Amino acid sequence: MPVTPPHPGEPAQPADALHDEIAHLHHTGRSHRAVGMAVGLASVRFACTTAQARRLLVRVSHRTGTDVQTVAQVLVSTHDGTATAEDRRLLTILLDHLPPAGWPAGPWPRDDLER
Amino acid sequence: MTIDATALADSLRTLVQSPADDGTLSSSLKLVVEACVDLFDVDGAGILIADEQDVLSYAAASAGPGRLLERMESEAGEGPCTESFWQAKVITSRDVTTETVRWPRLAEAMVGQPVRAVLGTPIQLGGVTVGTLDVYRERVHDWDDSEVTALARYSEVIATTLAAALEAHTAGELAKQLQYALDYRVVIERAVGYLMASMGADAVTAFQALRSTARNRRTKIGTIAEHLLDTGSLPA
Repeated sequence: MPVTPPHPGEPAQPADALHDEIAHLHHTGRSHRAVGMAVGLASVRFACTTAQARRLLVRVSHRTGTDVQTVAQVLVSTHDGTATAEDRRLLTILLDHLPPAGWPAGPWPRDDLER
Repeated sequence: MTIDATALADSLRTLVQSPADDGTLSSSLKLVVEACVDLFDVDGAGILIADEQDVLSYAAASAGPGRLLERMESEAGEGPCTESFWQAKVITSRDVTTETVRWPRLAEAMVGQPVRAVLGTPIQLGGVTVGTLDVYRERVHDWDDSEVTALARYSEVIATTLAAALEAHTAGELAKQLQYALDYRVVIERAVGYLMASMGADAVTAFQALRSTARNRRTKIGTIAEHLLDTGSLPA
């Protein structure tokens, strides 16, 4: 596909750069979402407050050298049943730093809830 | 897919200078979706913005059956746009009428309509997904990487339009929806995580439980999410 300038008059950007930028933006969006969900998940799983759950994510992040967004995404995707092979590999590292209750893995049966 | 850089520049210029733009957000969005159809050689395009129930609702559409697609998605609560909104990533379908497992209600509703291939891409403001851009073709079509990339890029144009309207206070009623999405996104996501763990469910099921509770009680989804996080249970 030919490269397109984002605004009139602006020089065109290399296709790879655009692709990278878009991938980054989407990753950012998903990361925001995953952190919120992971905090909710952890607060139930480990019977703690929201603040404690958030601190847990940060602590696991520091101890494993993994950014918080990635920690959150791995926890959410594992629970959600959408984990990739890389997610599962990372989870084995994270589990050493999570409370002993461990982390449940989906998929879960879908209820046909009333809409 | 081939996109002519000159055509893109012309379209963006039109968005800025169009006499049809009366300065309101809805007229701006209408121009954006019409330009999208011209630029990407699709048969229709539309924009859905999350309302206070976190349900995607119509904001703008090009002429044609696209409005029906948007309405059906909004009513069924499923489809490429809903999934794109929820997962914050581009979702494609080569033929929505054959998606009887992923989106059974939508697939059934679209049989007989001139809508087949659909692509939904999230619209994000400050990292928060507030809606989706959808495009469709009347025939079965495999969306390629260049189309996915280009349309994802175009959704940024829409995000910029929304942000500018919010800043200029010309967003009208949509401003409330956008502001609500931005304000409550975090608490809703946390509540979804809470329900996933307590119900033993995936994100979609948990989100549907939250949404149906809000709908049944005629309450905003953010209020239900706050109640859940405060008390540990959904309101009876």
